[in-house]
Amino acid sequence: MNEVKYQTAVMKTARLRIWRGTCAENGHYEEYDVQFEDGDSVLDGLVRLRYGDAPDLAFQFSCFNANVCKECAVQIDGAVEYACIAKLKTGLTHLDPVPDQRILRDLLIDTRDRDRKGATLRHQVQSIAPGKGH
Amino acid sequence: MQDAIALETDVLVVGGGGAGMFAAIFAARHGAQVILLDKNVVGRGGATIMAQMTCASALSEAEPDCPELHLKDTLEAGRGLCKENLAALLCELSPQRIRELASWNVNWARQDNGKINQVKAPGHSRKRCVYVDFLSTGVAICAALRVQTSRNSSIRVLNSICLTDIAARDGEVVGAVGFDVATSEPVTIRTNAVILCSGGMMKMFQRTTAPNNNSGDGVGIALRAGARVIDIEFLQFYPNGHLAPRMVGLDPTTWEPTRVKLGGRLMNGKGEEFLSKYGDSGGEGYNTTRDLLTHAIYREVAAGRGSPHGGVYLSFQHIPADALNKALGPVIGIFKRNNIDLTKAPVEVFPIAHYQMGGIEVNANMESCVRGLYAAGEIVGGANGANRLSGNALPEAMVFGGRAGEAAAKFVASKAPPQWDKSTAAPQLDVIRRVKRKAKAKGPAPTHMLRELKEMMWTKVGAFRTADDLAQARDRIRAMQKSELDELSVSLETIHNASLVEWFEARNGLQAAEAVTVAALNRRESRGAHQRLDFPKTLDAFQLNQQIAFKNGEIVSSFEGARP
Repeated sequence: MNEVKYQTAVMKTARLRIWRGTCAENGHYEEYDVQFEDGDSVLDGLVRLRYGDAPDLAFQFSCFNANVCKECAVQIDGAVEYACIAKLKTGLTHLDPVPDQRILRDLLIDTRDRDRKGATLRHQVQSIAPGKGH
Repeated sequence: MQDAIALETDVLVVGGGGAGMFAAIFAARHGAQVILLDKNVVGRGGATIMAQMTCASALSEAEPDCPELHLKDTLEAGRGLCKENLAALLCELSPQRIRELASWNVNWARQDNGKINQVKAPGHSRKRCVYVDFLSTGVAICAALRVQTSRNSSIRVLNSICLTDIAARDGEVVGAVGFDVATSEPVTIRTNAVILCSGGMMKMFQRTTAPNNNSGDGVGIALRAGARVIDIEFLQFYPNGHLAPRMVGLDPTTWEPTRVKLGGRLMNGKGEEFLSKYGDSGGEGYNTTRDLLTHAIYREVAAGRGSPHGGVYLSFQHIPADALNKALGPVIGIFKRNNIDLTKAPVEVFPIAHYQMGGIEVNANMESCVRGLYAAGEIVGGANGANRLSGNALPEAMVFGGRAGEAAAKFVASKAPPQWDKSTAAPQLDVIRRVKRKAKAKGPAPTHMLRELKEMMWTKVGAFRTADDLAQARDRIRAMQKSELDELSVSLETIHNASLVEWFEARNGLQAAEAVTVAALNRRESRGAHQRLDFPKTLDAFQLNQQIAFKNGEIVSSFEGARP
């Protein structure tokens, strides 16, 4: 194969200040630096952290930048946005879970129907008559 | 130690995409109580929701067509390896699924006369593919199926359950085991029938269209349960994969539907059209099949004629702006947000890992060789042979899902619940407990291993393969399984511990990857999506499906006849 020099991206640094914890009284902010190229999404940054400095950072996503699964909503500098559309920028970016929702952990919130919110699977199973799974 | 959360049901469906949701609906329709679970979110995780456009169905609403013609096109694209009974089923029942979805308010694009519109996609001899504008086919299908499954009192939908193993006794399913991702608690499900709808393994490639959940779980789970996989060496690389400029908020597969609607010109780094050099017959519109196009682009770039980022140019600059707007609608706005203006400049594309043709070997009732273990969707092998037509993945999920649900419900109807005691599923539960204890270990996180595996699969088990690369990959994968998987550590968190899920993804992904490398080494020819630089010809002697099984702790392979 011929040796051809292909363009490589100019890498920049974003500082992400991210809520870590389970509720307002039990959490704190952590700051992380993440490398990015222009056009990368906030979700790219979060996944990069999960593969690097913060392997236990909790956040919800699936389709990874296609913006169809609608799982990755977070608060970015105070405004709710899909992390897969919002672009990373140099300087500081604040990341919080979507407001007014029960926080499960870090950026993950409880999105279940009202009648199941707050109930763990074990609790749901025990509250149902024995003999049937549901 | 706390007991596992104990569930029971008539039919367990693993994976909540198009296949899983149809499996649950049909199982319920035929009298079963169903648990429909997903590692992520039923109806949102997985690949179905990402499907942008084509869904092949011989409806004859745009021009005369029939399932027999759809089958003929499918068999030809499959390069001699399709399991004809499965391919025929897909083609025959796709129209039924489309019409049922229409009755569930899926708004298929219509012609002016009210009939469903159908377009011709590469490899199809007729205008056959239906779709929902704009690029919303998967979104619309999943929305309708979420409504149908959530309203059905026979279906219990459970999100965030990671299934880790099947429990079987004397070659028959007695249930399954996993854990509640929300709390890390083990879960057992007592059932006579499990339908695996967990999708493909394509997340295990560095450059991929796959969603985060498609990590090869079904291959690993099925092999360990005693089922076989076929054609696992056939992994599709989607040729028109977006490469540059950086684009987010839109699937990198977007250029194929754009080309189906608008054509587009493919050029190398020098601005020359090149497809005719690789046997493309040319002509109006976009009609090159995926394997030929992947081959052509790879070759052109390897010869040193690539675009600035190592791909080829795709241009729509010759198309008038109003035709672009009409075809693309609001998608133009997404392009603009990513600094893409198709009237002014081309984009760069390069093949990208996309879809798994091979998978679990099943009969026409979607049953594997393990009684009570069924499979549907991308996880099934055989329907698409060595190369899949654009538009055949959605019908594969929907037709096979429904068929599996119906067959599983009928199978369990005459059976009493399986006997369970403390020893049933004990080994499978032990794996979970052992992995959770790794929270105290000091090794690297599972993402460390996933990253290495993804890079290795992309560079050594990609669209063009050699014996040396494949053997190196196989040996490294075996070493990772033997001595490194157990040295990984998981996070201490109990709430939504992604690293616990990722450990199991690594376990299954490694097993799936080993199956692929072994199968690819054994297939000493080039056919469809499997291309060997050291064996470039297609050989009649290899017009056979290759079966992989897991016996006595080892991957074993054999070839069988391709004709049913």
